[in-house]
Amino acid sequence: MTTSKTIDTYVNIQLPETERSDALNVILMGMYRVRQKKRGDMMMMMMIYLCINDSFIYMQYLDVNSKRLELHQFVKMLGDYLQNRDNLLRSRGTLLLTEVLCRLPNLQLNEQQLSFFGEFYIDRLKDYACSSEVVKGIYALVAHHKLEYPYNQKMLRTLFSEVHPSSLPQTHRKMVLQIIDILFARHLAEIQAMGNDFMVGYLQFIDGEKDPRNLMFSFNLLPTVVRCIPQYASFADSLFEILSCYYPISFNPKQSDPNAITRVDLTSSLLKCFASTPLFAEHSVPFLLEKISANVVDTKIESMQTLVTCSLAYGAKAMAPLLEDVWGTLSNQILTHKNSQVIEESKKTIFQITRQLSTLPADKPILESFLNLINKECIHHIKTSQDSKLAVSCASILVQTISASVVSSRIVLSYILPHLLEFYNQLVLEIEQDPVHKSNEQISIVGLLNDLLKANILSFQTFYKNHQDEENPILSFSNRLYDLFLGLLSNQSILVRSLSLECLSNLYISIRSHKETDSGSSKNDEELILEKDKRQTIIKSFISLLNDFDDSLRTKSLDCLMTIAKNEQIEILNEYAIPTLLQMINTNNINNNNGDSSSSSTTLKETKNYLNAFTSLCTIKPLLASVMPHIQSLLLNNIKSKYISNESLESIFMKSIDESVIQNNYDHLLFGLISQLFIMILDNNSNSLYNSKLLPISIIIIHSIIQNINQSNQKQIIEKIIDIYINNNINLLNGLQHISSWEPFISSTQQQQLLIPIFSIILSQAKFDITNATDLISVEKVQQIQQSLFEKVIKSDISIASISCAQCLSAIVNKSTGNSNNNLIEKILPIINDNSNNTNKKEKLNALNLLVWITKAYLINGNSQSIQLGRVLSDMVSSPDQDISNRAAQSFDILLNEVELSETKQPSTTSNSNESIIISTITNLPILSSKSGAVIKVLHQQKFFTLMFPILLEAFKQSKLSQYLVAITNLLRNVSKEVLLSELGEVLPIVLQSLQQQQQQADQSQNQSQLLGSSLETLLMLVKDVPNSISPYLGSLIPSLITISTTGQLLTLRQSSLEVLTYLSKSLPYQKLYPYKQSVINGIKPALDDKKRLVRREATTCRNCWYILS
Amino acid sequence: MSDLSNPNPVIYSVEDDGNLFNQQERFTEDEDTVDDFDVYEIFDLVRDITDPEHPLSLEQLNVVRHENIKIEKDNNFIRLYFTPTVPHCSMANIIGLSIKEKLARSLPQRFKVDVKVTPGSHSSESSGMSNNKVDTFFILIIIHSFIHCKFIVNKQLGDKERVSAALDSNSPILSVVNECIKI
Amino acid sequence: MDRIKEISIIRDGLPSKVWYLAWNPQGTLLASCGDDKSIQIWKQVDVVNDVDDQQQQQWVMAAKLDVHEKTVRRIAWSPDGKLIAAASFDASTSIWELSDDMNDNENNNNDSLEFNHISTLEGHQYEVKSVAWDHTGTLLATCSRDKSIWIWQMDEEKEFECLSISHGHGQDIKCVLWHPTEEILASASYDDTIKMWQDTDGDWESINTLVGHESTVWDISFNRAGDRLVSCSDDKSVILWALVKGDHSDPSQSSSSSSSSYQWKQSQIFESSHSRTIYSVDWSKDQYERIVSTGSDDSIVLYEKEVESNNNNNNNNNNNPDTTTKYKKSYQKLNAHNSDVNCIRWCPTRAGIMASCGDDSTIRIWKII
Repeated sequence: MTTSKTIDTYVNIQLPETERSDALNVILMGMYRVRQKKRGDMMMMMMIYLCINDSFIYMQYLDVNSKRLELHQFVKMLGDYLQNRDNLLRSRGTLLLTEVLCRLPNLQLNEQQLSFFGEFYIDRLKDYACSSEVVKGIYALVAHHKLEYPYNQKMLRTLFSEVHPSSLPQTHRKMVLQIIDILFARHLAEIQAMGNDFMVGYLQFIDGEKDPRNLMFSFNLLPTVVRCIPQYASFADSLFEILSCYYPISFNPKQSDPNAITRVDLTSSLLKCFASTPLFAEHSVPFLLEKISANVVDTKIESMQTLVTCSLAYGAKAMAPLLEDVWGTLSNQILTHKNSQVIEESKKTIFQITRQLSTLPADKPILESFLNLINKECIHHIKTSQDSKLAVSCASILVQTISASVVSSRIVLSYILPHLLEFYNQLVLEIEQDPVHKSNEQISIVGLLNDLLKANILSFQTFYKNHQDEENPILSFSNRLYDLFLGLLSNQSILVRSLSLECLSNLYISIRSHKETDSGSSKNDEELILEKDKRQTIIKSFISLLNDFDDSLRTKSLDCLMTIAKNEQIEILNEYAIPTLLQMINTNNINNNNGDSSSSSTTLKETKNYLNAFTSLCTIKPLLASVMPHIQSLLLNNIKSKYISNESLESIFMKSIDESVIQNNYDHLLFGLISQLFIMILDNNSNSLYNSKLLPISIIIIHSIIQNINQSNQKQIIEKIIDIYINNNINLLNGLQHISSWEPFISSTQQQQLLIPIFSIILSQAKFDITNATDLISVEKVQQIQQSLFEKVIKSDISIASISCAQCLSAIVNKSTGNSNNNLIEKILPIINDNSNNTNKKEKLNALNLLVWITKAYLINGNSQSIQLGRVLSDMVSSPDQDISNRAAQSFDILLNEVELSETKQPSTTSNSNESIIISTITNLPILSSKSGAVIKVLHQQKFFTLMFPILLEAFKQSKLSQYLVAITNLLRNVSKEVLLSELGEVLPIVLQSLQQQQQQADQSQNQSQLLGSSLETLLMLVKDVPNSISPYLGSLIPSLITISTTGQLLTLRQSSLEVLTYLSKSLPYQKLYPYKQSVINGIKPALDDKKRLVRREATTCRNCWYILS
Repeated sequence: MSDLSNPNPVIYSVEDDGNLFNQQERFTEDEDTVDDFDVYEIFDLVRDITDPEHPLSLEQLNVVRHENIKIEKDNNFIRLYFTPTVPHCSMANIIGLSIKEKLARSLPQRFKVDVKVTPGSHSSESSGMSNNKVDTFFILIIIHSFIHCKFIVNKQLGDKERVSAALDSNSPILSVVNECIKI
Repeated sequence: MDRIKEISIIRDGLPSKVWYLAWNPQGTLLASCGDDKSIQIWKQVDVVNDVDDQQQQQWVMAAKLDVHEKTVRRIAWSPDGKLIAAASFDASTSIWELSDDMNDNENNNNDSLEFNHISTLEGHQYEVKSVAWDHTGTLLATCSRDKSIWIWQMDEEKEFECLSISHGHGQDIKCVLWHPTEEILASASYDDTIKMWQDTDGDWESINTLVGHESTVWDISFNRAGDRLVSCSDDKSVILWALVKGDHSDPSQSSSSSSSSYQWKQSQIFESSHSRTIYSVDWSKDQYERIVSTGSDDSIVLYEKEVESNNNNNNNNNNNPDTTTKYKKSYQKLNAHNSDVNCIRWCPTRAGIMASCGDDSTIRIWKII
């Protein structure tokens, strides 16, 4: 078949799609052959042939040497279609040509062919019928065939003049843009030559575009246009007008297409357009400001961000005339708008703009005028505002402008500070006439000053470290401020004082300039803004304030001291702060020793404050080393003065635990401490120990030291301590040579027994198996030690001695690998079970206690014996002997509680007698913690629980002994929430029952309130974790809770019952609660008048919670 | 207790330190000692109430200060002065109501509580004192409106019938107040 | 020594704030109301105690009337004791009728009474603060925070019609009270004044304004003759007022024309008679004509006539001979309640018996001894 036929086939749209495309392919093939022949590359040809003719139905016509098709022939044949009067045919014809040009990018067109096609298409542009085909064609020409001068320009002109974008489908509109894009790349000169005409056409073309794909393209194109076509200037306004109607972009693409254009893409490229030229400034800024004043929050915020980007791009010059409006709008937002997000964003914007303006020195005048606007308005508000909130916001604005840059902060401060100071002085004059609100003003001014200082530090010291040789803007004011604040430290209002404290510390850490900015945290003298003497005065006054009656102030001054300390070099602190503190502490100690009891309470308090300060200072690493000696001396002083505040010393060790310092100083400290204790106790005939809280704390200290030093060091210590205690080698300790008859494990004198805990604690903390450290201790020795410990446990009449030995054994057993310990149990049980009167009660209990601790040892290292022993204990709960049974019930808490794994608890101040304090201290020490090298298998405790729980439960149901309930709650107290939930069905009835029980019993025996306490605890846990499981029981629960909260004997009971009520109100839905609302509100009224503040507080919370239920 | 020595509050009178010092011991834990009600306890009750139109607490806004609370334990009498941030009646009213209600819910019935706006309050007159930037006429209005307002507010807060009407069940004000005093 | 003895107390079933109480004219029933939005009717069951011939009174709840959506502020029995009007913060006033059959066998041991809610008067803009029946039992007055007083007329079918709406007070009106014998209405207000109102050809207009209190006037009460009035106020004072008549007019045949010639003059004042706001005052209608006042200081104060002899000496500028009897503050009962006392009322039939109620959610019955 002939080419012309093929052409007819293509053009004829009556024919099916396939045939037409085949026709096209034939033609294309022909063209290829032409070129391939020329190249003589058959292979290539065949391949293309195949791939094109894939799915060819009529291979048959294509005999191998079918006609070659030359372009000119083809065009000639196509000719009459191209001329055809029929729009359709004509456009099809054109399309065919276009297709050829598109599909054969490598088609080599010679000069006149190109110009021919150029002319042809340009002329055809006027032919609306086939405008889109033409556009496509032109695109092909431009893109693939390098249309040459002058056709590009000509084409573009005609395109603009003849084709209206609305007449083109999306793809073709895009092509036009692509054409322009390409031309920019290749034939810039030609387009530039068009000047205004191009702009006009271009504008008309991008105007009103809706399709996101095209928008993306034209947005991306626009900056190029602006860059390349100078004439855009005269069109800036209309250009922006077109852009502005897209802002803010509201468009959500269909989720289906993953790589579809997103709103973000569009927004960002539109933003680029906005920012593309300073000329937009005069239009865009007002436009954005308007958007900012609009009332959609998101728009506000987006516009502000846009504004920031734009102003950055436009540069100061362009922004200058608009800044006033910018400030106007933003300030309006900040001062009047309610939405905090908006306010924040506005502040940020101000910050950014200020920052941008400060970048170039040349722009300084502009920056100044901008800031002056702000300064004037702010200072005005601050001085005159009706509304303290207004003043506050103004302050925050200033903070922004100051922290923006060093330049800005200099400008602002140099304006604001004088005004403020002057205004302040004025206030001070008026303050007599009108104390109330004047001092309010005063406060807000000082607060403001403080903010400014902070901001300045931020800008000067944080952001712009590398501003060489810049002087700190605050410098010129430093002295005035210093005097002012220092004066205010004696102001009567607490608020003022704490504020000026902060101010001072900020002033203190402000640095003079950035000469040789060294990285070190500590500053050399000349670097800090204040002279040394001033700094010392500040430190002095802070230290004195450490003891202010208002604790908020105390903590504040401490914080400030810390901030300073972090920035100050150690020398000054050592030379100044530390000595003063120590002096304070010691003098107080002295007073305290020979001071009358009335004043002692205050001095105690004071010293406590100083010590806390001291402690926290010690946490600054570099300081600690240099302070260590002081600590020692303090420690000893305090021991001499039997002075309670060791707590805080102890916490120094806690905090400095991981410090190498301890490792190096332990020996000195430890034995220094120990020998002091010895001296005190042994030389001291009375049992004054019980009158001082000294022993427990020293023990804690010893414990924490020994616990935190490495094995080898431990071994030395242990060796020494064994020598002292077992071989009675007391003169290893200095100053004790004169002590005769030192045999702690034999002697039954109180003094010697009181010293036993030290030994047992140290031994218990050994990070290795003592029974198996033959290098250190011989087997016989071990036997001897264990034996003597055991003896003490049973025989000693001093509880702490007994307990600590029990713990020590427990620790040894826990770590010992050999099974050499069973005989221990065999020794214990008979003592407990012996009902003949020849073993006294005390010994029984001690034995029981030991049993518990051994069980615990096994329980923790996962030894199966723990289960059997657990059973034994649970039987003992039912023992006729009240004490045994109570103790056994309690024991389940000791067995499972987690203190072992946790940090040391401070001895609780609730316990009444000193003895019980010591005991609680010792029992609360982590004896079997991982830190003390204990062997721990956590899962085993889980197993223990699941085995023990049913046993105890059953026992309780049988015996109805409240001790069992105590045991159970003690058990539950220490299990994980999951476990608890699984047992809920069993637990809940029990808890409720115990609540009921106490209601019936008018008199709450010790045991009763214990029982009640633990039940409440459990209940609280349940309410927090699984409120809904409680709701069915509310009917009985709430009344009993109310009764407890008002009649409970212990304040803890009243307190926790109220706590439960509170949590109920928070965790259950209203419809469940409202039936009880009134009864609770009225029921707990008496608790509001409870004699204990703790209870009242809880009651208040509770009542308020129930009130607002709805 | 030193409060008794001056029943009518002198604002910012520095109180006897020793006494205040003990106040820092906020509570005792043994069973028998009686913790008396004191200024700080009252202050604790109201400090966290929030300003209806701001997330700020009355303490932060400096509307309540412990210096402005007086308590006469023996007469079961408490007087609290607060300092509204704006001389604007309705706001002051809400704040006052919140304080009153919070205390009513939190204190034993035996206490008689008076809640009043501080004599001569925040900022308002300050515009007058501060330099002549604002034209005096304006200032006069403010001062007037404020003093007037203070009078109104105090009388209304004093009128228990109005207070309880305002806080009667499902009244809009009640929900605002609840919002303010929510813990 | 104690002049006032508490002879009975009601605890259970009361609102947490009891705002008001009212004896029925027969003195056999007490009605109370408060912040639980309901009205409680209490019936007395006397138990004579032989040891001392004291009557041990016990009170049982005979009915609980529930219709209002907010606090019920005041209640009033009609003169025949068959109707109750209740003013509520929900801006409405409800009318209740004691159903007759119950009324007949009131003395049988069945303690519960039945009341029917026969109508609700609406129209006030804000809380209704007070309601009062006139001596004929046909006119009803209500007042509100909306500063207006409404006069309602009840016809035979017990249909209510609003006769007039009067304005005049500058503020919240706290209470209204009818003259015991005449068509004259008294009102007390937050604007610190008391006003007298009278029907002048269809419109009720203020004919007198009694100025003297320095803060809110909370409660007022006429004496038996109606020529004297006592008022109490937030300014902690109690004031006695006396009627000064113009020459030609005679109150018994009161006519609108003569109204202008009424003059109420302050005849006696008890400054700071209580230490806090005084909420309630009542003038007994028995021969002793005692006055009692109570308020926010939890106390009850009793005022009694001074002995005739010494009223000539201190007969200061009081230009009216008829109403000179001076009163003296004769006794104060401290801590009568555990909190604010909101209302105190004499028993209309038994001299020396009174009832008080307060924020401690109790009603207490007192006897003068």
